Amino acid sequence: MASVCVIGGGMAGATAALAARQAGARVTLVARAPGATALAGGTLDVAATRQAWDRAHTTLDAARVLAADPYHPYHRVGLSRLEEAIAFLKPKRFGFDGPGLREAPLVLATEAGTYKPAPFALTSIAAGSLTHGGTIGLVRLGGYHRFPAAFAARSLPWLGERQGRQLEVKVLDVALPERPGPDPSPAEVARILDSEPALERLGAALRAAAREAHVSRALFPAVLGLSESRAARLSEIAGLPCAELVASTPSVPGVRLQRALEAALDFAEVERRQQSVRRVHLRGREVRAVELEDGTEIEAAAFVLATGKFLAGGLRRRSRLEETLFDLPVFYRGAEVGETDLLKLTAAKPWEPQKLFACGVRTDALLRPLGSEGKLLYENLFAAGSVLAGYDAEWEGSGLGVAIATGYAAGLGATGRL
Amino acid sequence: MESRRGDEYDVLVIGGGCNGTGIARDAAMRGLSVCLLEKGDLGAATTGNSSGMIHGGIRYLLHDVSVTRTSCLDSGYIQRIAPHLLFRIPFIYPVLKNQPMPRVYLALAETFFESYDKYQPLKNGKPHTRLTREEVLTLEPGLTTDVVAALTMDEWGIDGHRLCVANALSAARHGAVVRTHTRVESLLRDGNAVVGARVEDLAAGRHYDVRAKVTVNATGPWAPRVAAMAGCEARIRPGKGIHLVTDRRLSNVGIICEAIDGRQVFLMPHENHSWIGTTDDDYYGDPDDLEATRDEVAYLLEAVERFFPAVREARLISTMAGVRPTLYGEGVYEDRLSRAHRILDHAEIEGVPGLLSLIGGKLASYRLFAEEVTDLLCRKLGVQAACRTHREPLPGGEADPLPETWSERFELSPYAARRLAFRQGTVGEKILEEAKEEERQVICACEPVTEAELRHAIRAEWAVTLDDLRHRTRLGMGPCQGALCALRAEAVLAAELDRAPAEAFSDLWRFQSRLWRERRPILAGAELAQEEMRRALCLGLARLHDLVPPPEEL
Repeated sequence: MASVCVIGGGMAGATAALAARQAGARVTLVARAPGATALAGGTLDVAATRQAWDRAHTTLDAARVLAADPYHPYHRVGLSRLEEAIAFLKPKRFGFDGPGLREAPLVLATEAGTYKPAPFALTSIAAGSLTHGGTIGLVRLGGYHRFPAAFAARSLPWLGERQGRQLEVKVLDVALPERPGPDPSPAEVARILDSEPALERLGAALRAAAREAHVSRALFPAVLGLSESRAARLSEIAGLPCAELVASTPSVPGVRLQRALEAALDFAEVERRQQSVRRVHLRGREVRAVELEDGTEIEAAAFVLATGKFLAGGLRRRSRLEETLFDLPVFYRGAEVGETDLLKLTAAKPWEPQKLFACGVRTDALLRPLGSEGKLLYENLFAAGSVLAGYDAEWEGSGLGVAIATGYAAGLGATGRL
Repeated sequence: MESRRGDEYDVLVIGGGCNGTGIARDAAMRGLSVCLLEKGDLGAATTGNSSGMIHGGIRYLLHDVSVTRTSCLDSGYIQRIAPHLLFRIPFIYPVLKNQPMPRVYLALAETFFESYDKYQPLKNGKPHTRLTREEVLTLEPGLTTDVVAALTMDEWGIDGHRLCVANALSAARHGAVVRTHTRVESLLRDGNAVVGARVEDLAAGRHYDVRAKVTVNATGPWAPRVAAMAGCEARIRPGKGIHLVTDRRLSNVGIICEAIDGRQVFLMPHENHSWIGTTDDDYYGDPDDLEATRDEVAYLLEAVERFFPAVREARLISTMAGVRPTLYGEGVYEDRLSRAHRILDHAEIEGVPGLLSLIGGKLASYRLFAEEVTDLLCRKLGVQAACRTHREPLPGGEADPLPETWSERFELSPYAARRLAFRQGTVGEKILEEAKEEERQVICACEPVTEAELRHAIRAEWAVTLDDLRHRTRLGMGPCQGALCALRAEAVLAAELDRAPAEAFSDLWRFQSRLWRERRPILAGAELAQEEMRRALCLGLARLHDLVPPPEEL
């Protein structure tokens, strides 16, 4: 049985591991800590750009705009592969719900008082899609201060109007059933609401507040339970549809997603090692093994590099921009970045796309990293997710979509099935 | 505040830095009617981007002894009137083994420090000491092991932004009118004389006249431009200076380092951070368009690295850049230019009565400078009143604040209470007393800053933007650089000022834009991870760039 070693435990790494496992390989996944996936707000972003969204009716149309760029990972793997990957992954398995790529996206309010499109979101968040209409009650949880409800209640209708969408929004004041410590984090509040009696008390308070305010739905900050969302149960108790907003950072839905990924990996019998990789062992044009912090060497027939960008530690900048594990050259589009001054890789305004965040590893069509001269470096190394060059994930809103598409392709590639 | 509009003031002060606010306070305390105008925010330019030190100026002993003496004297006064805003910074002056004849050099340096000792009592400083290699390495383990010995001296740090606000508050209590975000478009003339200014309220886009018997041009690096509005000259030699800011304190004490060109550069603790600076270079650009360059950053890191090698591993989170309105001098290096101050009376120089321009000066002697200007104003206006600014405390400095008791009474962390006491002195207690319970929540966790303090800054300290709040409270100055607090703080502004979402999001963008500009030259290491998270919040999660058009003027 072929063996695959995946480095990185976010969405890209998990997808690669599951795909390789499905193809029959024995898979080890090494991850030192949760990365950017665990900070996701609860949506499965495939292509959320305004530019794409304006011209497009469906998420797939929007992704097509991105895929027109020959350097974009969507171009590299192809949009049919993206759809295949999502079908393989079965987003429902991870708690996602939504119309998918071939329909108009959900329109979801965020904790920042804005909203965004997404083809899938965690069920509790998808339930709050603004496409449903009706009067929304934004819940201000007494004792929890991170969500500025009054501000969002003004900004959401204003933003909606700019897009030709009428929204009626009110603030609902509901006390938390238990008094948390001062300035509780989202996770601390979510933990309180994991308990059924606490949820029942919250539901009773909500029912009273909603009746008085005549709202048809209640939107909560994303704190309704830590391990899984209790929004559906709360809806039953309160007799009113309850949903969560897209979360800010630190994100409880991100924690739920990360846990769901880990559960799926365990279920698929992927061996997980929570350690960092100390060094890699090469043999000619092949990667032979990775050596973990405790000295263990993991040999495999193929390796998938899914170590993320700066946040997760896949890329770093010392005197030059570098990939941390294999010291692969870092590219912006077709050019090696090397020691390029970061000022040249950044735009003057924070709302502009930044070359710096579209830098990464360049690959061949099979997602195998290339060296400085564009030559293949290692026959059995594949790369996936935000360590890849060619897209600015946050600006275009494509992070998890690219992670899934490239993770899937890399996982198949590692087992020789692509 | 509105009632005086259209009336004639005795004095119009243009510029809300330490000199402008200092003059407004002094003049108002002596019974003059005063209007203070600031085109941006109080203390936001030269003062707020200075080294933040009320120091005695040991280096001026070499060529400007009077500056040292007056600085030390005034440092003592400032400690008396604003004790809450000052913090002691012990400095060490390390001698390294590659110094030619280190023992002789040390003896010479010690003689020099001894001559500074006699000024120390003026500013409650301790006399110098001499540390052995072992002692100095125990005190500051991050120092290079090349150190052979060190000398110590005592200085004082201050929050420059708060100093300006405190002066402006005091001025307002004595009847002065203070208007921020109000720009002077032209000076009003009556024959040759300057009789006030035509101004624009930048937020409202409204234009109006402010008439005054005497106009004081306290605009620092902008002084030549304002003087030129009356056809006058206020010649300065603008000197740009930058600092680097780290995410935490790298050292316990200030360390005097030497740059490649022999200039002294400090690595010093400032509030929760270390500041590295400063540079001093002739600046011919626009003082409104200022940022640190990569060369300046490299110059400072090189200088400190030789003395404190770990600085290369430090996480830089921001830069500060300002322009000194240094007295004009030719044929001298920037560093050797005098730090003395001067009042230009344009009645005497160009025959233009009613206009004074201030040039030169330094933070440590702002009060003395203001006193001299106000003395002249009184003479011109025929008023006899003595200066009291060195005796009467600034708002918050009337007594010792007791943050230990606040943290118990108001369920605030002892640390948050101490930081509030530092910024606000005794006023901190009133802020907490008047706040509702939920308003005592911490919004900026880095500093930390409570919602109550933000509301106070908006209601009582002229804050109308996030950047103003940053200057008042240090919101967003910590390691997360506003990533987690900016939106919540903007929500407080929107509630207090009944601000529409369009305006609120514009302000949020402006704030992000300004901070990004300060970070861009130092992006590296862990800061890149922080940047990725910040973008995930603003762009990835909130889609702000897709939904809200960026503000036009920035």
